[in-house]
Amino acid sequence: MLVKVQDLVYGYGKEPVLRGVSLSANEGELVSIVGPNGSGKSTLLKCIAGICRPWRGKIEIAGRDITRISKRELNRIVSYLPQETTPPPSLLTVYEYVLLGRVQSLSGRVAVPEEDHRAVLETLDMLDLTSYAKRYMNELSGGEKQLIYIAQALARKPKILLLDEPLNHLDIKNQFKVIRLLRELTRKLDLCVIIVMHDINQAARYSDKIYLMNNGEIVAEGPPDEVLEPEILEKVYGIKFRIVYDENVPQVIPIG
Amino acid sequence: MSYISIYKSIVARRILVLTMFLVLTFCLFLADLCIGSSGISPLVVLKALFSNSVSSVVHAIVWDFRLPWSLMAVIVGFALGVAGAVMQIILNNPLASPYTLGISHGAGFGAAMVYALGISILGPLTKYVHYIVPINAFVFALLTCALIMIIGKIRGFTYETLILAGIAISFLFSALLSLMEYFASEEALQAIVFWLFGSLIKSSILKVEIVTAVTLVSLVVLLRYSWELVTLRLGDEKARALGVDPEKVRVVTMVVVAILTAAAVCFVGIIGFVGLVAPHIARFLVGEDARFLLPTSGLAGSIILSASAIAAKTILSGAILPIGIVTSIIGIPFFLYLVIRGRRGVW
Repeated sequence: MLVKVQDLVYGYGKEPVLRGVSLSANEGELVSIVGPNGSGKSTLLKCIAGICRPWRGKIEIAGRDITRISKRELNRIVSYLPQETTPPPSLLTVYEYVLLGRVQSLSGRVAVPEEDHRAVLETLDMLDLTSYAKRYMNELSGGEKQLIYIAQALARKPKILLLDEPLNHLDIKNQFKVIRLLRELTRKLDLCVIIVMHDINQAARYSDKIYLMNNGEIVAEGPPDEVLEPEILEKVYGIKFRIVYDENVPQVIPIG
Repeated sequence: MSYISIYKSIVARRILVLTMFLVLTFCLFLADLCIGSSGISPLVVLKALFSNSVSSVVHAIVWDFRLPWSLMAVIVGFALGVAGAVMQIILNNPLASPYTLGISHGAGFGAAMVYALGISILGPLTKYVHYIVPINAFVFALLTCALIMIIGKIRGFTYETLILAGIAISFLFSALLSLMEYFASEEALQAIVFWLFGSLIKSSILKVEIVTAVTLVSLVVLLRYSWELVTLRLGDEKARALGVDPEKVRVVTMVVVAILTAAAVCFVGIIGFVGLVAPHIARFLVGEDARFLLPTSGLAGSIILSASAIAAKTILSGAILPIGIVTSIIGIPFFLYLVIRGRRGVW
């Protein structure tokens, strides 16, 4: 297993936000974490990214205890894309923005090593974004920006990609574009992708595995058709749901 | 498309701007050197620089007054420009300047203490008053930084904490400065007010050498943090996700900026607006890449201060206005121009 979380407990202040969470994800797998606001999804992602230190429990990355991996090494394996709360600086080109994904390799250098240039260009090329390289970040639409954020996260060629609500603020067309791209990258690069998202239907359509969280605990886990049961969803969200199947993919309809 | 062509085209414009600023700084430095009330022709000034074939009076005017003043304008402008650019980044605030953390008020209080009470951190006033004022100003400027570090240690080095702590400490030293002014004799009060205006006329070659050394070392250290500084512009959470510790970068660069600003301010007094305006000009022309932004902002500071030094000598014939007044008079309308007419969304 590339990511293995066991009985994880973590919180802010004295109150635990995660109460014994266990999760696992492997190469070539797209795993979604869904659940209501405040259920601990983003905190779980931050723990896996090594930003929050667990109170109790264990996180293993590529078979090694996360506490025994240096920050620098962890950063090479795991790439974490937080929710965008700060708009990107206007006068930064796309090329520079993506290059910052390799800030650890650039640290202390004035000249940019060829290896970093190559990684940026390969990433832009892979995502079909090379034509954007010289454009400024403030010239891009929301959907384009989200693709550039993903490019930045991929520029250091991680094995594990963690994304916190990457589909937020995107229109439906761009939501599909981004999630399809992530699906494709998971297969193509044999990546382990863990996404926190709110849209249960997108999660159902594109995930190999879904973790449903509520109140700091995993309520259900497994393939979408096993997790998305009306009774389980009603217990978590407090409203009734109907499940319909579209090409064998469960789709959730909230009926209040 | 090869990365070489993409990257080169992005960087080429920046190198061009940097080169043009370097040339402009040199031209203004020469102009500043050649302009003065003593009526010496520019040719004679240049001759005095490179040979001894001029009269001793001309030699003294050029070497003891004009050269240190002009060099000080270039180097202090550069220091304030670099310091301002870093402060705006680490405080994530386009209105930040080298003085946002209260350094100017701390330095002002340190200088006023010597003038008003005749005491310094080195003890009672001695005959080396020309150096005791700068030393006291330098120490108190750094003291403001130390106080902010203590507050940061308790509350965390977020930009909100640093700005609020800076405001509080500015008010504290401003009140203490007023207290000094209240107790000062008429003569001392005049000296304090003159110091606070900011002036280059107490410059000497040794002082220029000190500020130059501090500026160069600071620039090297800050350039080593170029990439981390740009990453801070993406927000603390993003920086952390990219493997940068934003608080550590803020602490290290803040200390360097405090030393740099204190070194500049302690010899020339408070010269406002350079550290606020220069980074905006630089950002407008070279973007956010700190490897180019910091030196360009420094050169923009040199250009503003050299131009102001020329204006200070030429606005009133026979009198030299304190340069701090001139930079503020020039700086305010220019800054408003940037705000009103500048490219939208530059920050």
